[in-house]
Amino acid sequence: MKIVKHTAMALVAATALATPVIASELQLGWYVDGDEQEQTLRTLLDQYTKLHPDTTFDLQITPYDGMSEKFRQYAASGIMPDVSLTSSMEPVVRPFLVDWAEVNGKDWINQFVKGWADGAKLGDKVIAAPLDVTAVGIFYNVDAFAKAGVAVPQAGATWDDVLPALKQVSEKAGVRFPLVWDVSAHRYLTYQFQYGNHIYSEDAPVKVAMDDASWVAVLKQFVKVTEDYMPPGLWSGSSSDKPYDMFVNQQAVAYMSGSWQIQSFNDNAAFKWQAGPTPKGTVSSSNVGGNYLVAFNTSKHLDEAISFVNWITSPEVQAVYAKNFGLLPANKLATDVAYSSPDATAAVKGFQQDLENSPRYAATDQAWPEMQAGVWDAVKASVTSVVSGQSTAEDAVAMLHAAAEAAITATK
Amino acid sequence: MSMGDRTQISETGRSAAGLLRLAGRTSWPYLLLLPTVALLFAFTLYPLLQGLWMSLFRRGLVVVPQVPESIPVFVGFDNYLKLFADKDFVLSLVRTVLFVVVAVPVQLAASLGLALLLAPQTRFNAVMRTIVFFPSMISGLIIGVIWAWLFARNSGLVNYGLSLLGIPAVPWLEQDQLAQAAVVVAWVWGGAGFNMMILIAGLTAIPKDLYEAAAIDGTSRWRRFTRITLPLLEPSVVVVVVLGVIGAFQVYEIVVSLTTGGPGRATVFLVQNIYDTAFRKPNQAGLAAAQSGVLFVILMVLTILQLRVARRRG
Repeated sequence: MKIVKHTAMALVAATALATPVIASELQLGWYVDGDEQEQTLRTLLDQYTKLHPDTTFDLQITPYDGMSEKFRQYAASGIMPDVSLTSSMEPVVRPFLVDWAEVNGKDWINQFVKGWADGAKLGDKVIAAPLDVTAVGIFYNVDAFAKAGVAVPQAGATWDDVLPALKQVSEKAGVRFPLVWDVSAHRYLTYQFQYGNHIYSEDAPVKVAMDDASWVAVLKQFVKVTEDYMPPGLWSGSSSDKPYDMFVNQQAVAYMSGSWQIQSFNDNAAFKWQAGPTPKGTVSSSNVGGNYLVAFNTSKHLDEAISFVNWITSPEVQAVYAKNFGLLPANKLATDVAYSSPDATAAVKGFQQDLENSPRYAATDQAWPEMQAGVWDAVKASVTSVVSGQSTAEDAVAMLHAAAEAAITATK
Repeated sequence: MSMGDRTQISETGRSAAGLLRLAGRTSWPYLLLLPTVALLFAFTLYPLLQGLWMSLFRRGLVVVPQVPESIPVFVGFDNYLKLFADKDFVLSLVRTVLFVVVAVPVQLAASLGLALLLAPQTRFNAVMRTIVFFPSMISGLIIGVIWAWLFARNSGLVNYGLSLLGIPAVPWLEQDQLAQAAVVVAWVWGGAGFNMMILIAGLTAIPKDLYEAAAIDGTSRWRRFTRITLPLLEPSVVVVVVLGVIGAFQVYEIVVSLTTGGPGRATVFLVQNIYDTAFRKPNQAGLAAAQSGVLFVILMVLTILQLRVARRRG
């Protein structure tokens, strides 16, 4: 009997030793800009699996536009991935999000870029890990300035100083248009930020903070800029002219876009370019954007999910991540990002400076989930409807104000 | 068992087998139809009924218990009543009707012209028919992108061509009426080839001796066209018009990639408005379903009317 017992125990022990540790497959919800970016991400994930052979990934690519609905579906069904990329933490999923202050301590969040880090906080909790940040700002065609014999604008220059200079360069250097500007709510909002306007209050509870008269004045001013300095009809809402193509093909002296273009200009621009300094209005402002990672407390592999998020947001990996994706690292301790050229490195530094100079609302406005409830569309429509002559600036701002109020009710 | 009993059993057996055979014969076609009916029910009828049911509620697209606004509340026909006070919906409906009124006849005329031109069986015509038919095989989104490249005000091929002739750039996509006309052009280009093939099939089915008899009588070409070709082509024309009206009412992909509904909202048609209401505005799924219900009723009434008129004339 003893022999049988010992044999059985030995067999159990041998089986336990021989069986490999069960691998955890983390489900990752992510959105990418294209195949190249997806490949870069997969390479990074493979790198993690090499370091942690027990963790593999099931990468679920989702269109960015569908993220809001996707989060609602998660909340409705209770079925969630382990980790997801997002730019906004919908209230419906907040109860399911890991509190990073509890996991890593309340000071952990302070290592990230301030404005974007603030957006991850919910009272005493930290419900998301900042992954990368983006800044809105201007790019100049330095060669065109040199050809025209005009100095590139310096830090502290206002739009009133810069716009005539752009026109002068355009005329003297034979560049078709002084300025092109991405037809995007996000990029236009930056202009309103630069004149002290923003949509929502900076602190909870969220309230509409629009000074309608000031919004109207700045909107009229922006429409005038589109008429006097940009390609005709660019902001009509139906133009198929591409600002990026125009700038990279030297059809425009300056291009108002954002930090995500750095890598592309580095690879494609056949002229000397420079990012910033972005002109100011009454104040200096960029538009702080970016992405967060959230981990769901419903995960069956919560420890592995937390470990992965901590790895990818650590200063060392952030430096690699920012370089590979051509983005600004969210982690301020990731100082030595080896971008692919001195121009790119200078551009990144310029944008990081723009972020530092931005008011707090330049980060909080975008981070409010209310913005996803139809407000972005209303911001863009407020400009295109005026440019196309279908609305007055007063009506357009009133429409935007109403949409901002309605979004608060809808996102309760 | 007597002989009579056996005969009776055998006759009963024969008649039962006959009945089974008959049942087999009559049910076989229904069995063959079953997969199609099941698919139609699953992907057309059920979503249609579900959509109509949804239109009677105020609700979000996804029901989330934590969001009270998303939870369905029965409102009867309130959503339908609301529609007529909704400026965006009314304007998009008017725009769509105008689009149908202009685009369908233009596409019919273009298709008929092409069909008459390319119907004769020659090698050249065979090549041309393939070329003209080609856009019908492209998705609406791509058609929109192609025309957006052509019509771009500051970088498009059309304005570049005009500039070579010293003509200033035309705001094809930035001026309301021109943008609407650009959508018509792109839509007609995308569908004319397919309609041309339907009309060519109709043309080849017209007996040649009718034309020969008319020629012997010295009838002019125009009279032959109006008195022989057009009347006998009517069944094909009805098909083209019915398909055209349905397609034009549902125009969406071309617009999204050509003008994205601009300038302002000048080219926002009904389907885009439905999409925007459902997916870009929070908790308006019931209202969007009501708009779809209105579109469904319009299309059904128009199709029935067109078919009845055609049958009466036939």
